[in-house]
Amino acid sequence: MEIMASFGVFGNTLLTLLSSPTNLLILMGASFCGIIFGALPGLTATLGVALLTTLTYGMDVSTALIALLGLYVGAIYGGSYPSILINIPGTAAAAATALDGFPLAQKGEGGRALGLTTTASLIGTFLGILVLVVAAPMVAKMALQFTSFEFFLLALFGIIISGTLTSSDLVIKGWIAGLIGLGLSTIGRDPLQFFPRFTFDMPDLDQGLEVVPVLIGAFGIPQVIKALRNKESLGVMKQFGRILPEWKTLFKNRTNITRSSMIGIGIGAVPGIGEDIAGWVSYGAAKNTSKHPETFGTGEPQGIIASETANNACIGGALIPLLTLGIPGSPPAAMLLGALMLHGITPGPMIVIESPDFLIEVTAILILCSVAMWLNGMFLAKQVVKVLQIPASIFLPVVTLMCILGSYALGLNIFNLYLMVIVGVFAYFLDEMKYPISPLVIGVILGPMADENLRRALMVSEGSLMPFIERPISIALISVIVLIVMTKMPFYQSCKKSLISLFKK
Amino acid sequence: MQPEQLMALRRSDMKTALVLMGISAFAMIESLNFPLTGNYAGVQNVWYVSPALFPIIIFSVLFLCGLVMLIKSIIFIKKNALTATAKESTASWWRFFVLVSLIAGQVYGFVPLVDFALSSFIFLFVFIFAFYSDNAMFQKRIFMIWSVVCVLLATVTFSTELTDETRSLFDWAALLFIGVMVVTLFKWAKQSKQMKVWRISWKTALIVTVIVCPMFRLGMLVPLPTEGIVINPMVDLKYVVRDVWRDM
Repeated sequence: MEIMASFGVFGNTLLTLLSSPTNLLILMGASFCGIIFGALPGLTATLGVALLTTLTYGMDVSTALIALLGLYVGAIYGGSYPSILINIPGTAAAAATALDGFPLAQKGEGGRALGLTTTASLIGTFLGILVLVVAAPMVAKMALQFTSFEFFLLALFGIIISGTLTSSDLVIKGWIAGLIGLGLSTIGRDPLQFFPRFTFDMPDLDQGLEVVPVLIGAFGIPQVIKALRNKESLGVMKQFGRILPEWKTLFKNRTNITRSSMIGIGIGAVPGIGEDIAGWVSYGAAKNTSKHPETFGTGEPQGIIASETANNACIGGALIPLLTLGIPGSPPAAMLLGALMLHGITPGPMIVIESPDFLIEVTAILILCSVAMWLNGMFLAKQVVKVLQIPASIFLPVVTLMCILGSYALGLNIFNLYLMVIVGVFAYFLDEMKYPISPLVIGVILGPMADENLRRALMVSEGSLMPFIERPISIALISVIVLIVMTKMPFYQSCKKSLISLFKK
Repeated sequence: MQPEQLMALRRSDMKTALVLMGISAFAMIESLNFPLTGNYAGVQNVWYVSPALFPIIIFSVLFLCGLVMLIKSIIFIKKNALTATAKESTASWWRFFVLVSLIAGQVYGFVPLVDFALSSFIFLFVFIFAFYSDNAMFQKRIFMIWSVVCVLLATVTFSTELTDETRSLFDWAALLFIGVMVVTLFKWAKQSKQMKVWRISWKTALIVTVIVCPMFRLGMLVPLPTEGIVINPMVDLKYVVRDVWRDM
C-alpha cells in the first residue's frame, strides 16, 4: 500500500510539474545553461549551481529544485562536449571521456561520440535515481538511530575521506584543507552558548561565515584567475554530423553500463568526492575488464560509455548522503545543500518525517531533468558548440560579475563580497599549491555540525569519551577513520612493502 | 611533475607550513581566552561544553599537520639540494596582479560607492579589454589606473560616512571616468590596430549590464549593492510604466 501511495505521489508530482509551462521552460533553460556551464572549460557544475541559487531566491521550492537539479545534471553531462570535440575536458568529471571521445571525433565520428555520451549520461542518471529512491529511505531510517556521537564522527569521516581522496599531491594537504574549513567554521558565535569566537569585535562576523559567498569565492574566483592567468583557450573545433542515440551499441554495453553506474553511485555516496573520480575509476574498470584493452585511447566507445555513465550516476549517489544525513556527497551537492537551506529545507534524517514526500518530489524532478538533458543534448548540441566558441576573456569577466551579484544577493550584505574576494584569492593560492578545495568547503559546511554534536555528545556522557567506543556505529566509524589515516602513514607504507617482498620471496 | 616544479612546490609548502603553524598557534592562544570554566550567559561551563573545545582541537591538529608538512618539505629540499627551483614568468605574475586588482578593486572600491549599473559597465569594459586584447602593456597601464582609482574609492568608503548627495557626486565622477576610459582605450586600440577588441569590449559590457541589472532589480526584486543615478530612475520608471498601464 505504501509503495502504491508513493507511486501516486510520484505521478501527481510529475503531472503537476509537467502541467506548468513556466516549469517546463525553466527546466529546459536550466538544463541548457548547465550544459553550457559544463562545456565551457573553467566553469564547473558547482559554480553553475552557486550562481543559479541566487536566481532561485524568489521561486517556490519545487521550481527552484527544477532549476538547480536541471543545471546540475546538464553541467555534469556538458563537460563531455569539449572533451570530445577539442580534447579539453569542460569539467574534471569528463576528463576520462576525452581519452576515447577525441580520437573518435578525429575519425569524423564526433556526432556518434556525442550521441553515445548523451544517452549513456541519461541511463547513468536514471540508474542513480533508482538507487537513490531505494537507498535513501533506508539510510534515513538508519540515521534516525544516530546520536550526537555518530553525527560528530560522520562529519569527521566526511572531511577526512574527502581530504584523502581529492588530494593530488600529499594526502596531508587534503586533511589540512579540511581542517582549515573546520577552523573557518568556528568564526562567529558558537552554536550552544552564543559566545563570539574569532569575531575581533566585528558585528559582520557574529553570524559566522555565510556558506554561499565562501562557496562562490572558493570555486568561482580561482577558476577565473587560473583560466585568464594561464591564457587557457579552446582549440580548433572538429565538425560533427548528426547525433544519434546508438541504442545497439548501448545494448551491447549493458554490463559496462551497469558496472559503471554502480561505481558512480558508490563513489557519489562517499562524502566529498564526486564525478571526476567516478569517471576515472569506471574508465579504468572498463579497460581492465575489456577483451581488447589495447583499443582504449584510440576511440573505443566502451571507454566513453563507462566514464559518462559513471559521472552522471554519481548525481543520484551524491544525493543519498545529502538528503538523508545532511552531508554532501560531491562539491555540487555541497552547493545544493546551501541552496536547499536557503529555501528552508534542512536535509537530514528528519526529512522523511518532516516532509515525507520530499524524496519522491526530488526523484520526479531528477527524472524530468535527465529527460531535458537528453533532449537538449540530442537537438541543441550545435547551439551549445556555438557558445563554446566565445573566448574565455569575454565570458569570464561576465562570470566574475555574476559571482559578485550572487554573493551579494543572498544576504544583501556587502561584507559577503569582501569575504568572497578574500576566500577566492586564498583558495586560488591553495589550489596552486595543490591543496584540494572540496575538503575546505565541506569543512566549512560540516564544521557547525561537528562542533555542536561533539559538545552535545560530551554533555550527555558528562565528559566521558567511552560512548565513542561503546556504540557499534561509532566504533565502526572510528575504525574506518583510523584505517584511512593509518594507510597513509609512512610506516604503514614501509610495512606493506616489506610484507609484499616477504611474500614474493 | 618536473623536478624543478616539485622543488618549487616543496619550497612553497615549507612557507605555507610556517604560516599555518603561526595562525594555528595564534588561534589556540585566542581560544584559551574563551570561557573554559565559570559562567557565561547563565551557563556553567565545564571543559566539554566550552566554546573553546572545538577550536582548540582543530587548531592543535592543524598545527601538527603544519609541523609534519614542514618536516617533510625540509627533508625533501635537503635531499634534492642540487635541483633547481621552477619560477613563474613575470608576465604570468603581472596577469595575476591585474586580475586580482580588477576583482578586488571592483568589490572594495566601486561596488560600495558607485551605482551598480555604472560600476558593472566600467568593470566589464576594462576587464574584457585588458584580457581580450592580450597586450601586456595595456594590462600594466590598466593595472596602474584601476589600482589608483579603486584605492581612492576604498579609502573614501572605509573612512567616511557619506550622505546620498555626496554619493551621487561619486556616480557623476564614475560617469566621467567611464567617458575618460572609453576614449583612452579607444586611442590605445587605434594605435595597436585592435579596434575590434575595443568594440567588442564596450558592446559586451553594455549588453550584459543592460540585461543583468534590470533582471535582478526589477525582475527578481533584489536590491543592488549601490543604487544611484542609473538604478533609481530605472526603478521609478518601472512604477511609472506600471501606473500608466493600470490607468489604461
